[in-house]
Amino acid sequence: MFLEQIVNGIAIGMSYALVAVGYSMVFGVLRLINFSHSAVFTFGAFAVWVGVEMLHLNVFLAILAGVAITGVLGIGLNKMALEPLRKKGETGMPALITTIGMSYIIINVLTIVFGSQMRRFPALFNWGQIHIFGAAIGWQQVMIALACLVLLVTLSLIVNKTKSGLAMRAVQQQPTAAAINGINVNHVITFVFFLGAASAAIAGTLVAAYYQYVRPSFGDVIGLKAFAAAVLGGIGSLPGAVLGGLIVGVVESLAVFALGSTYIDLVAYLVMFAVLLIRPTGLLGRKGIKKV
Amino acid sequence: MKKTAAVLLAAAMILGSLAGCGGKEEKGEKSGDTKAAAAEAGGETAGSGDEGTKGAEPSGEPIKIAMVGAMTGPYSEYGTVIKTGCEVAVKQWNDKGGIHGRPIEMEVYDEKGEREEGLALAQLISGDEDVYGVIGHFMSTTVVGKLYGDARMPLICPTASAEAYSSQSDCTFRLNPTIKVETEAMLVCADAVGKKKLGVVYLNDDWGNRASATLEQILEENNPSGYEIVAKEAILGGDMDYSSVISNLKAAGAETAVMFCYYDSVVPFSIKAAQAYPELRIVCGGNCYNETFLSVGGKDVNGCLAPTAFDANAQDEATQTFVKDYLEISGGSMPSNMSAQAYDAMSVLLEAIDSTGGELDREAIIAAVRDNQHEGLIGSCKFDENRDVIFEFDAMEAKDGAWVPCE
Repeated sequence: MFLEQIVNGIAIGMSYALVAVGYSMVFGVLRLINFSHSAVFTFGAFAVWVGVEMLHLNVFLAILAGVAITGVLGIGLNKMALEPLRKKGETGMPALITTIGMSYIIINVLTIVFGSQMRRFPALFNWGQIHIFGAAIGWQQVMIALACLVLLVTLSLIVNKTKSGLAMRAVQQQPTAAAINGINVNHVITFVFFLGAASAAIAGTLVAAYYQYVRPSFGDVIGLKAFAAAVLGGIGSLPGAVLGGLIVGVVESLAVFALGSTYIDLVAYLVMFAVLLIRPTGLLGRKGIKKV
Repeated sequence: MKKTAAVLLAAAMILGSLAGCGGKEEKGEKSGDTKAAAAEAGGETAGSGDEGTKGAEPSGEPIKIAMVGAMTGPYSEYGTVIKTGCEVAVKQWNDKGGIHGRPIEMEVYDEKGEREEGLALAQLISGDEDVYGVIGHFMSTTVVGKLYGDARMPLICPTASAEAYSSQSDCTFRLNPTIKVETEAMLVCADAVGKKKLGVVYLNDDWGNRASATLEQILEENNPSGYEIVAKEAILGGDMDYSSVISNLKAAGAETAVMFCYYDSVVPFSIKAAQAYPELRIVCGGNCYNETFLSVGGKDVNGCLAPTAFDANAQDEATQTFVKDYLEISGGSMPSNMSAQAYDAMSVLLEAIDSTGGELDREAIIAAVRDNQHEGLIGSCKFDENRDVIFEFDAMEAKDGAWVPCE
């Protein structure tokens, strides 16, 4: 029973981690908490759903198309709403509030187009279960975990080992200096939004396939938990996002096991507060050094 | 900077309002959908040769009925089915020539699933002398009854589960089962399963907590089937993963999960249970008797049981006509329990107005609603001394994409 709850927690935690990675990546480069991320996550799942259920595309073609369209949405959000603010030198609170506004717009548009009801989402990796020490683990859970790790490694490689990543880090540290050195700051930021939105679409697709449904409010709870996970792990740190997701998921499951489902959120957020009291930057977060 | 931020925020808010709060456009205005549907349906009826039911074209000042529902926001799917059910009744009456030759006009108000918004709308509607009755309210049912009572305006709600609803005034009527009545009906479904160990899963809100407590009370007072509650699990609306809850039920030895939740929690629960605990039987409330439950749940909801007073597959003429009209207006969606209750609520109100001889005296309408003898889709719509309809349920089972009578 205990082991089963740990497995349940890891599975939920991986869902959180998938979303948290996107939050963390955008914050890591732009120092912006992108609150539209959970709405983009839902949009991505709907984009794939439309491809599969309405246009009857091959599943993997639908995923590719959905991820690409969602990536373009991310670019659009940046170009329409955030770039004009940056041109005015406003990257703090106005940008943050703008992402909240964009989130509402995306969800409301999805509600108008698709209604608020649930839609069946096809199970992608429904290959049954494997049993380890008596605990049943579904192949879908395994695939979510793998996808999460692949996403983590891919994004880490892009940020740390590519020229684009170097440009991202340069923009993060000092945008003006980066621009003087020939880096097109707007292009870099646009690329970051594309990556963030594309990762949200992948996460949305996998999570929707795991739970086998999608609806406009799909990202509400998971988005909040994923944000908490990103903060717990150290927002800006990709491995931290995964670690935070796993901790939140496992703590939730153990809370249900030990205390009952009523205490699920209480215990999860208490643990988050406790960790942040001891390490305000999160488990793997680094304190930013402000150069003067 | 401030200007840009302000413009962006304003744009976001306006777009958000326009997008999510479509009810604002409808508020206080005639329902365009209704009118269009009525007009379209009139033509179709004539064209289909259904002349027997077609009356003279209604004319003159319309008789206004208000319909208040959660038309936007997280509960908008319920608002939509309730609105469509009402629209079918209005269409059928208008097709018959209206009430004493006058057309019926349904005004749709958007409560947005918010109690405060519902209260504000009740204040607005109760002050409108041209409105002769109200169908609805969704989240605000327990706070609006007195307002309508003071205005002597009949209110028939097809979704009020709280016991206190109908005691607010002598013109508040309930056309859906109370928590106690539905819980007893769910126990009848559990009887069909025949297993004694119950796991109670309830939404951690006012309704869910009351329903769970009601179940315990019923079993304390009278438990001929020998049920034992072995686990109680509160869940949150909007949660997606119920694996941990299912593990707890499994560990406690629960054989039947009695779920006081909306269908959107029962479906993901059932999908997970089908994988992790396939032996678990699930009994849910009448709100699960809908098409989405079956289409999203697929084979994973096979074996789920729910009580319902409405059977969309019943072969009687009234049900078949309702289903046909509903499919036309909704664009192909099958009616649910809620839409049938809304249809019956509107039918009772219109019949009551009609029975007053066209005088449009609200006191007479209230009396006619109270004393109605209407036979609706849910059966008899007679109200008891508490102004609640006495429901008779059938236990239905989800089976291969359909709800079928439980064997």
